[in-house]
Amino acid sequence: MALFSVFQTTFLLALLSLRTYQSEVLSEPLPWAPESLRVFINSTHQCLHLQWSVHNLAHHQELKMVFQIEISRIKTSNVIWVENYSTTVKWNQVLHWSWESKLPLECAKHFIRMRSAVDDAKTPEQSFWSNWSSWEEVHVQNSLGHDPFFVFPKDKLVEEGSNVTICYVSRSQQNNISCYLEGVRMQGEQLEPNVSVFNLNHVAFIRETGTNIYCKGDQGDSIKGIVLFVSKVLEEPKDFSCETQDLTTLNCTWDPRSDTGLLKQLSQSYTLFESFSGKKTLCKHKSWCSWEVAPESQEMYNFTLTAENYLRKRSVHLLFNLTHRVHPMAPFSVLFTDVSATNATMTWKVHTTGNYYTLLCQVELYGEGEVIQRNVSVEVDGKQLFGGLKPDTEYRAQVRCANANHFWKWSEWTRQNFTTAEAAPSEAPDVWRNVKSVQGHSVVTLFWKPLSKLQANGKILFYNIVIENLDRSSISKLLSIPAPANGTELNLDQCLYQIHVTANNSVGTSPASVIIVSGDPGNKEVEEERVKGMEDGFSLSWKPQPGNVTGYIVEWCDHPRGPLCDLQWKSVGPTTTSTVVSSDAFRPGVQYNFRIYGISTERVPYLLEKKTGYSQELAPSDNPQVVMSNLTSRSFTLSWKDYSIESQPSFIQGYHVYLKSKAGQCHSGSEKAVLSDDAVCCKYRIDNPKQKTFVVENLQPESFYEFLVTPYTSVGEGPHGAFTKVTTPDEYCL
Amino acid sequence: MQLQYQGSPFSDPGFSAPELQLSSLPPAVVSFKTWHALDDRERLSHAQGAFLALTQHLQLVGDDQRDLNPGSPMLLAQIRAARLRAQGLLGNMAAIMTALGLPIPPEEDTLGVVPFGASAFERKCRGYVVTREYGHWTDRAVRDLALLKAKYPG
Repeated sequence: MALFSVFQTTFLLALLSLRTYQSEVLSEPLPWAPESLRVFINSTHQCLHLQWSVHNLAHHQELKMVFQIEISRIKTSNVIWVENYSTTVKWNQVLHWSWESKLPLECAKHFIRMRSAVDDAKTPEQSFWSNWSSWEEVHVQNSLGHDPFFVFPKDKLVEEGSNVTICYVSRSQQNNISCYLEGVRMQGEQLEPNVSVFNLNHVAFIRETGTNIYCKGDQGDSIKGIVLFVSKVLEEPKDFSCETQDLTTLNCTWDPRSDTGLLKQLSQSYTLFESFSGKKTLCKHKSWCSWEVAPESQEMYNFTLTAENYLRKRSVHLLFNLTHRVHPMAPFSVLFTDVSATNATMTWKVHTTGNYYTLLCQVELYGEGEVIQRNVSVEVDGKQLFGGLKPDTEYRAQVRCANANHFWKWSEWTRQNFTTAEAAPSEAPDVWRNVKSVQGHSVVTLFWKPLSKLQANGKILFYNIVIENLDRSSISKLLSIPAPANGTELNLDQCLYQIHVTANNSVGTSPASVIIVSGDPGNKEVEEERVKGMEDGFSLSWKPQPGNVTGYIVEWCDHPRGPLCDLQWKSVGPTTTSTVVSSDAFRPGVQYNFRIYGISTERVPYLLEKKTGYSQELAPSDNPQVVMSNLTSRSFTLSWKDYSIESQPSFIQGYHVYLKSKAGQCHSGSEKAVLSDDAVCCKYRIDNPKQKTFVVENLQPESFYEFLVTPYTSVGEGPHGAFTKVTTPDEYCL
Repeated sequence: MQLQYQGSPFSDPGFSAPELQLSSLPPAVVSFKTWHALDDRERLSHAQGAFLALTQHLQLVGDDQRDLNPGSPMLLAQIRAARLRAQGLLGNMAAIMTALGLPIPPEEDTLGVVPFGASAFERKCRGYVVTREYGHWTDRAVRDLALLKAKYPG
């Protein structure tokens, strides 16, 4: 019995002590507290870096823990930051944690401590905090020299738009210190008696050499300051694009936008990374980069372009298929072969890289007023035939190419010119003649107009004239007249001649112009019709001929009054019976005579009609020379026989005879007229331009008269110049 | 001109901060009485010491400004010109001292360890002090030489 109770007691005792042991375990502090706490200061980045470890961990034991970190400023009771940091802790591991201070570390003393707790699901009842570590003091020493105060942070680099905190630390509390940003006073708050703080919100970029912030004491003892380097915000590169010319090198370009380079910071750098190959390159230029393409290996490319400066990184991506980004080099070796008057063959070469892919080439041919466009598929050599070209014409050709499948961009144009060969002239020259009968033979002047470029098909070298005597059926003359020439003179007898005229270039001869010339003009008398000129010339029309005509010719002299008539002509077709004749030589006051010929089917010209007219009539500029005769006491005779009505500036329709007298009465046959000088006189009208005499009668004896004879036309009469005086004699004087 | 490049307060019109000094640079300002009472040896050795320090300080300021104002060739040229003139004056002083039979003090390093690690603002400040003292010392040297010329004509 006693044994059993002893046994029981022992058992109970053991149980008790076990319990005690357990509670002792529970009330002891956690063995996994943070230890060996070390603080590192990075004052440039205003950072505190903590390092610590947890002891008493078993080998290979991993524990999920949470560390609570407290940071105080100025004094330990002033806690400014609390953070829980969770991590898995391994045996012998050194733990790290960083904190960035908004206030520069030199401005105040900082204190830091931490405690830990286990955050493991396996042991939930043990998750309560360890004891706090002791406060670690962080104090940045800055009391070198004898300066009364200091300003912080020195030479800081920030991004535009960020917030910055500045402070000054004064040795003594007596200084009244004022601080300025770019010369403007700043408002601050006192953190401590010796320390004041200024909060700058959204700092702006001012200049690349930085922003001055300085403070001065009122005792004039010092100026201290800092330079704040504000950088522009790095922007994402714009318009990122890559292309290849030859499937061996990729050329990537982008718009870097603003340069964030500063005194304190280099301009941003650009890096190109391709994810499928894993290759990376640092770009030497700020807006483009070259990339070597591994031949025939990779078709898809996934690029990341990263812009980076000290403060920030920005990236853009581009995914593409290499063969969809081909921008070929311009074609080369453009040649023209088999160039004739109307055809040409164009050949060119394109750059290939060995992996044959088809190009689509665009060819354009520019000639005189025409454009030919062709699209051609090309692998190595391109070829195009052109027909229907104009002879002796310069053509400008250009060709460019692009990828036929998956078009990306056209290459540059490659240009080349060529000139087509000459061809024989296509049309007969426009030929006319003038025949003058001189002493039994004819002087025939042949005229022709130069062929237009379109008709000449090359440079005209000479004109051939074949003169065939139809009466004698023989060829009398062969003339070759070198160009340029527009006519020639022939001496022929009165026989009938057929004249062939052709224009010749280096290739051949034009069709012939044939004209029949007979020594005897045999022109029937043709009525001359008067025509009126208009602003742009003369509108002439004539009666169509009953017989067959191959055409009509209107002939005139450009200078009818000059020593050289300057014969002009206009050819029209057989169905035309009217035309407008204009010439730069037409002048007002000049009478032009037009002769209209019909050309028979036998090539013989026949004069059909004559027209005459003034392009613009002008009033006569002088009056006829008048001779007075047969003066009696009551009459006298006027005559102007030498006056020619042919060479006047308008058609003379008649004459006015003005008579001034003292009496002022006008007899029958005349009417009263008032002249421009308000003189009153009698006006006699003569309607016949051919009349060259006039008798003035019904005059008074012994009277003074004055007269003037002036021609009148449809546009006015001659000048009212000097009147001629005459006095009638006494009736009884003979 | 140099002050314009530094920004406020240096570029403020009429800026003057006589209290700003560099311990490595002898100040030119001195009372008239003291200056007049100097003997030849003292006068010339003060000037010689000052210009020696100035040539070295102007080199430092030139280096500072190359960093602070990289795109300003005219400013750097001006500082270089000032340094060369200071060197010229140094030569003049040496010649006069030799002529008067006075010993020429040896060249020494006036800057020491001060330059490294200065912040941008500190460099602007010392640029101001050096150029100010260069101006004052040049004026004073003109007076010194005039005085000596009057004393030793020919």
